[in-house]
Amino acid sequence: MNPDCLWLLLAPPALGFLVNGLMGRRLPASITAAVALAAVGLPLAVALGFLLEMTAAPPEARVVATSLYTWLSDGDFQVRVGLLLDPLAMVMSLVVLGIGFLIHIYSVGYMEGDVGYRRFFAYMNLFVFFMLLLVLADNLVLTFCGWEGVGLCSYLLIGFWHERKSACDAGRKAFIVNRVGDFGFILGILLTITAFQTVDYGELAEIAATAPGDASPIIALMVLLIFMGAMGKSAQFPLHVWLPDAMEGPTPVSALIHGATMVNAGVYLMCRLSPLLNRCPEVLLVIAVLGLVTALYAALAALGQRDLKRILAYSTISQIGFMFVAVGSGMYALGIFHLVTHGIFKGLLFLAAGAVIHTLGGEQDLGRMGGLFREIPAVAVAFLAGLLALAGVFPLAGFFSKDAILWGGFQRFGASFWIVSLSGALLTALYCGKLFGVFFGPRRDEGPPHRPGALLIWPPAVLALGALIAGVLGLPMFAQDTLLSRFLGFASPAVASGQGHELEVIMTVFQGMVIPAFLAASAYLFVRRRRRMEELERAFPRAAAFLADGFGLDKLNALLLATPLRGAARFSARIIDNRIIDGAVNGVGWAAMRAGRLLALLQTGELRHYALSILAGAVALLGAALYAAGIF
Amino acid sequence: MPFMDQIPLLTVIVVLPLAGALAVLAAKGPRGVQGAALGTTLAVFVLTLLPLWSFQPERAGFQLVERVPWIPSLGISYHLGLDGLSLFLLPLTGFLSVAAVLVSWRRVQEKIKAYYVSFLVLETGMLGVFVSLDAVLFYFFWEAMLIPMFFIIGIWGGANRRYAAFKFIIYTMAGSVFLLIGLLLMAFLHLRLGGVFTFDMVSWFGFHVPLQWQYGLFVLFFVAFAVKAPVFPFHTWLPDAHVEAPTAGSVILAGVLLKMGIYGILRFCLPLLPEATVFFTPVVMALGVIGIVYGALVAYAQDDLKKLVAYSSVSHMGLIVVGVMAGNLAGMKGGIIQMVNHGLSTGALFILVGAVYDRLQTREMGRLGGLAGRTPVLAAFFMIMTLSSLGLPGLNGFVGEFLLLLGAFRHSWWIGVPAAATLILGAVYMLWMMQRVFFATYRGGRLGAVADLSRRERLVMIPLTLLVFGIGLYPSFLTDRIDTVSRLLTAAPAARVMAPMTADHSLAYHPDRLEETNDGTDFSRR
Repeated sequence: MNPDCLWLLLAPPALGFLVNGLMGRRLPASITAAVALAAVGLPLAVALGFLLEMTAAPPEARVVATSLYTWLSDGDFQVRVGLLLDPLAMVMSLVVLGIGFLIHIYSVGYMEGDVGYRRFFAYMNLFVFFMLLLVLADNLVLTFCGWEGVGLCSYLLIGFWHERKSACDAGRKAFIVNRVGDFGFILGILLTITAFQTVDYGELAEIAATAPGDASPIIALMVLLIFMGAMGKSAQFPLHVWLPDAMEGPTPVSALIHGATMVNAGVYLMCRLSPLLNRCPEVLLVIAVLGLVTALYAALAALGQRDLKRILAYSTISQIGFMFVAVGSGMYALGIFHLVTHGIFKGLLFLAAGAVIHTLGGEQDLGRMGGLFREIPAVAVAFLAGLLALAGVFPLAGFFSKDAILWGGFQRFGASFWIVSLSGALLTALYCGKLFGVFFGPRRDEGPPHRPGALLIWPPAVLALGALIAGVLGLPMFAQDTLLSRFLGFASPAVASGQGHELEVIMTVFQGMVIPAFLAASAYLFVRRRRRMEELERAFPRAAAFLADGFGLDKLNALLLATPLRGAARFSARIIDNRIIDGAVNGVGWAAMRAGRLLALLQTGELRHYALSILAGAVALLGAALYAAGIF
Repeated sequence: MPFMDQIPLLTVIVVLPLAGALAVLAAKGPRGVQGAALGTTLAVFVLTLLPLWSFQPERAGFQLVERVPWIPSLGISYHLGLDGLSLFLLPLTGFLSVAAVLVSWRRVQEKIKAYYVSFLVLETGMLGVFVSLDAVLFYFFWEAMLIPMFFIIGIWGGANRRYAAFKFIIYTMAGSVFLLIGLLLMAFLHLRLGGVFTFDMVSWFGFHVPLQWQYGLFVLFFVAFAVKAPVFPFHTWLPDAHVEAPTAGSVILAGVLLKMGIYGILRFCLPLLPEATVFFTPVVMALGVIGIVYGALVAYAQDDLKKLVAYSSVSHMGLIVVGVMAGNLAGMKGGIIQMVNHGLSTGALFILVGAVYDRLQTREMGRLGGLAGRTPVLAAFFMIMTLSSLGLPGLNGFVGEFLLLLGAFRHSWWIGVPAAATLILGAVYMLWMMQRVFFATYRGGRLGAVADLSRRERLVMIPLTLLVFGIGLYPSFLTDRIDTVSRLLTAAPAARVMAPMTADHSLAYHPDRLEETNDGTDFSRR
């Protein structure tokens, strides 16, 4: 494995961005698309080459690293631009490039005829570049660069149709909420630097292994602050509020950035910091609990959505919550496993949803979708496969990863934790069932359907195939080491494995039956008894609105944060700045002028006035002199 | 480069704009006037780049020094020199002056000769301030700068230009009085305790000001420079001056003039008054932190595009002040770099704001919107500069912000944490501005044809953009060259903290004795 070739992963998307961004207007659409595809396809080929060599190499030789140049230095402390391709980065790169490539192909069809065609592909390439930078960076600061970069692309692509105010608002919200998380991230980085004089992942791992016990609180605080960044990017409660709104962006963007890749960056980052995390069980607990809360909350909110894409958005939040449950249980490989399977089936669901929306001429309201199976059978099959995978039905990919997460949580945190996470999984099955209504039952749309072209069908179909077989990575079941975890080779905190093998098998079988049962029941209700369900929703309008608004968190944010901030800004500008500070400044000027006028009164030009004042002065001086001489 | 030893390069740089001003006076027709001005500023810019070549980063003290006695009886000499602190401010000034001429090209049609003469005199003043090593010379250039700026705002400014021009000149003159008193006091102190009446700053650096005098002097110097920077609460002249100044005036004002406040603090307060610096650090840092948050809040509440950018400067300057006062290498380097960065990106933003105003005759954001579709190139440049201003990694702003925050955090977490709020607040007001000007729909009635950036405007923006990326991607070019001066500047106050109340002159701003600054706890080396 030649480390000098690592830049080949990063250069093509950067070049693709430059070519399409700078001279796209002079290029025909076909060239734009070809450039954009090549910019993702080339690094994909390189990454696959690296994968072949990596799997052939012995586990300890599976790291490729290179240092390009020193970005900044401050005394002994240095930030280098260095790339690191290890199994973890490899898996992430393949997710980004593999799913990204398919989504780029899909976009060629989906964005056809849009005025911003070249701008779209330029941004998409830029996103892939920053995402790879985030993944391949060998230190925290460089990761932060990629991290903020993908945030920028997310902002630009959510607000891609910038004439729509709602889209701009959503993009801005995404950026600002992410910045709130990044506030924690950067403080974590600063703390890392002040405490350890390094941001290099390898050196941090060594420090984690060797630092004395009293360094543990600092490490815990560091990781917790960085986790705040992860909460923003990976949309964890309560910093998730931007993701549902992010659905304003074009659907391929939702698939790539807000489904399959960027939103998982937080999980990746925590896995990257696993040597540090292993030292702080309290932080792991925080992560697991927050993940669980998010998983449950978002699943409930998903159930109340009326917009096809917003259901998928809440579902994404919920599933990432499950990934954090795995991370918090100390089972990093499992978190990555769910990241991979989720990336595949969520990408698939978004792409298929895009095809559905295209068919209905832009309609996203679930209430107007029904019976589309006969119109678009290929899309429907792919979509349903995605739903089964998401719900976790055997033998699709989601089954393997979710089952392992539930078991892991049980093992580490006990039965009550398991019960809550199982309810999250059952809620997932419920809202998946709700989406069956899109394809079955009577038609609800009017007008002729726009059948999607081949470019809108094949990418989701390929992903559906992936959703079918990706579970293989989690084989063999019930074993300590699966295919993927052996490849990743994480060191996990020691877990006392009290429960026996039999219990795990029993629970798997139980879950494997109860989840499909819930899914079937829900599908039945939302297809056959759909009107009844809708009447039920209308009967409790406030409860329905509460769920649909995601428990009213946006309103709470507006009340507690946005409005006070705006108020403080106005108060500072109008009262403090205009009245008080500038008032004082102008007041000083006014007083000086007044004093000048008063003094000017003395200068009357009349000789007798001057004579009088000379006399008065002389008398006063004389008096003073006499006083000083001690005469008075 | 041996030939540079013979040529008094700094003198040439400082005098050339004046010569250009004479050429402008002699030139015929608007084309000739503009040509002379452009030619002069270009030549000066090229010359300001030369020191980057010859500069020896490891050498402490001043380089390219020129010294001729001027008024020996009063201890005044013509003394020029350059160190890491001023090294990058010269080409920044040179570059922004070229940009100022180019953006005035079509816009300024009245009294065109006087306009360009004012600008060239202003340029001499600015360059002179950065290279003066004699306090009287420094003061001379400092004041010489104000008058052309007063005319530029007062004659070629907007509707309320008289008020703004007078406010600017009176406010900054008031600050200058403090500076003058401070400089005279220094000279007298040097006479009484050092035996010589001199205004030579290099001699001052080797002289230890007695403690009881330091506090008063610090207040005098600090107020003078805080007005210029501007540090909260001395900032209210800034938005008025910016709003009324013509575009080129705003570019110079934000790009160069504000830097002089920080430059002055670093040139006078830190090396001359190390104990007082340490004593006043909490106050100054508090003002800086207030400035960060307050400037951002006020910026967020603005409706006028130019005012918003002006207040964003208050916020950015606050962060610089916090960083340079933190007393460590990271903060100092960050402050010096951010002076350059802020000059580039805010200068660029004012150019772009001017471009918007030229096209729509309004800066009121409630009556703008939707321009991205009409003027994509303008929008793209605006976006890049916005991102630079809000500190996006990969662009120049992040480099400075990162180092400044690191410096603040190393000083103490309770300074670093509120300072880092700039990360959130910067995004809040800058993106809100972007949206109100460029996205959604136009709110000013019917929108006719709007021209995108002209070729001349692009000619200005492209190098600015390249610099924004260049510094962002390879900041080591700057940090390596300011390393020595940053060490010296942080060493002086830090050494005082370690050995307070001693009259040991050798610990002062002296090149040969470098004291390592303490950078906080270090677990890895336990």
